[in-house]
Amino acid sequence: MNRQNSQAGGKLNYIASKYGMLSILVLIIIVAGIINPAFLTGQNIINIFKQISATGLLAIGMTFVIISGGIDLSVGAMMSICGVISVVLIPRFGVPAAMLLALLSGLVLGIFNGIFVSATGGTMGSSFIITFGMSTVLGSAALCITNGAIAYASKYKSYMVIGQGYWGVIPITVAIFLICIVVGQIILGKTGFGRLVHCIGVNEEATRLSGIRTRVIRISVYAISGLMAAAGGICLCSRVRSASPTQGAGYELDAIAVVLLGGSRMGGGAGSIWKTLMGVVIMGVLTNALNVVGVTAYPQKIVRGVIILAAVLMDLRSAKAENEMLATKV
Amino acid sequence: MIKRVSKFCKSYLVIVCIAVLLVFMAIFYPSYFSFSTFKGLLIQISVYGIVACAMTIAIIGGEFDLSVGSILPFSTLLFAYLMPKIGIFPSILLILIMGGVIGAVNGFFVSVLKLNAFIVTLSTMLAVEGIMLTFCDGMPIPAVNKATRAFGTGNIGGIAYIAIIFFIFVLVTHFVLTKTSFGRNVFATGGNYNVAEYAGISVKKIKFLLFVILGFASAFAGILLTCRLQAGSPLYGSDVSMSVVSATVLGGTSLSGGRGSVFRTFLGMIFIGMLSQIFTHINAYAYLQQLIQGAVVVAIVILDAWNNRKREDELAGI
Repeated sequence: MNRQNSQAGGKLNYIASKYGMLSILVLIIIVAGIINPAFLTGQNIINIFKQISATGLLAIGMTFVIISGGIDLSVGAMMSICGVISVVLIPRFGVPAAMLLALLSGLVLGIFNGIFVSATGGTMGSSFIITFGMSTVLGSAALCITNGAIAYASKYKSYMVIGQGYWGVIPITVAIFLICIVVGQIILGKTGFGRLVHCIGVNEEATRLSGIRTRVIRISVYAISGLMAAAGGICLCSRVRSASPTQGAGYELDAIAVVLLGGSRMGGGAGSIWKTLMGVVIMGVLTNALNVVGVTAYPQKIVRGVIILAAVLMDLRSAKAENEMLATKV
Repeated sequence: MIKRVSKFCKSYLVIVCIAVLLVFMAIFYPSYFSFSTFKGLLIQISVYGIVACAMTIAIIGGEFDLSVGSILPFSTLLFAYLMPKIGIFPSILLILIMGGVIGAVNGFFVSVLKLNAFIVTLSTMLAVEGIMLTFCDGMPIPAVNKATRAFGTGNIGGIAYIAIIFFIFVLVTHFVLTKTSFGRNVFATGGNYNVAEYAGISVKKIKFLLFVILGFASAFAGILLTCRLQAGSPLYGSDVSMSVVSATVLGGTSLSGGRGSVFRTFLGMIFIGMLSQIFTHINAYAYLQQLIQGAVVVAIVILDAWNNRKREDELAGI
């Protein structure tokens, strides 16, 4: 009887923590909708998605890195430099080629990140310090390219299609973000590569000893992160019609925050792109709701900090509940 | 002999780097070598150096802290705001308490609830930044005061008071780390948390204290910075966390914990300070300067890891 009780309690706890994020989201939506009905209009919902798509693209790459047991602090600077590249190369190569080159440079720089991180042992600490150093390098390289100025893109109509165009009612950036979410989830959840990313996050040494080239996996994880950062940079530049060499500063922390908010675990091994989507939507809805309700930018930071901490605490509880579930099953 | 020299160079990579910089400057820019550049270097590294001492203890204990990057500017603002109202010493006391409380919040979440230090200190950094910016509305606050000015810019025989305080901090940190049981426990906790716990060390208390010390040190560094610059601003010292973590790692303290010394961090701070001073001296393009600084950090970390791996291989070979 006692055992049954605890099992039921564990199950309840498990369900509560599993759908905790969803209930927080619903709560935010209801409260914001009551305070200001404009929050619930279709236009505003599309706006929310438009605002989060750049952070969301970064967060997809970051999910791969965090599940593999690392962290990528360079994505913000990567976003800046790739955005700048995509704009300054237009006069020489034309719009499509400039965009492709920007994506390619994101990929290559990401590969460098991966090589450096695995050269220093591939631990959390080394990925932290290496990608931080790279973020200084890339950020100042972006400043060197434009000489500190903003590169304007409003002359190039076709460049702005991505950020300002629509497919039906869906903005193109949002469509790109959603496509990347689906593709990312398939790669991470359904392919052998995705499983190996989880494996090196749980135990790199064991994975290596079972005959898998962990170094290649680690490098490709950072390459994906670089590529997604480049895509995010292009989307952002095309939305705001210009490329500022400092536009990405701070985005890396947002990306990490939404991944953890969604429930992927720092230190690797557990997580999914769906969870990240959840985190991105919560962060977007929260920011938008705070704006709609009339909270100014500075106090918003306080709320954001508290929310991240609360999310991590809930994650801790859900991990405990999961363990209890497993224990009672046995 | 050669073997010993090369061994020394490998374990103190940062000394080799400093020597390379000095030789380069001696050949191309002999005007660099003067007492005033030396004084400038000390003033430049002192404030961050105090935070770096505390960060070294924390990193040896296997933890680290991003929130110093908002505790420090918050403390400059609070000092500038409180000083004319309640006097110098009461405001110093209040600010130190503020730093300690924020550190204790970090410490509670990390040690008792066992959350990841990165994410905890990231959240407190954001929260404190939000409080700070709401408090000052994003504007700097002037803090002109004769007494603090005399202290912040004064010197004994050319060595600034602030630099002397930094030296005292380094020595005290070294004493604490090597000669006290607290220091030994920090090394043990950082080296292997579980073993330390089984050995009867109150690891939770140690981890908690690491963050409280960091909070105190960064609040104190903020007060010194306000004395020197005669103003408080939300931008002062916002890059401190990354700067001191790089200095600590450059010095050779391992980010995985359990190994390191505060003198290494001191050398790391000197190297970073010299690098930026030299770039200013030779009038390098400012953005290029940042680029090279970042590249140097990456290069040294890679070299250091490579050395460590060779050392481990040698140990395994025996």
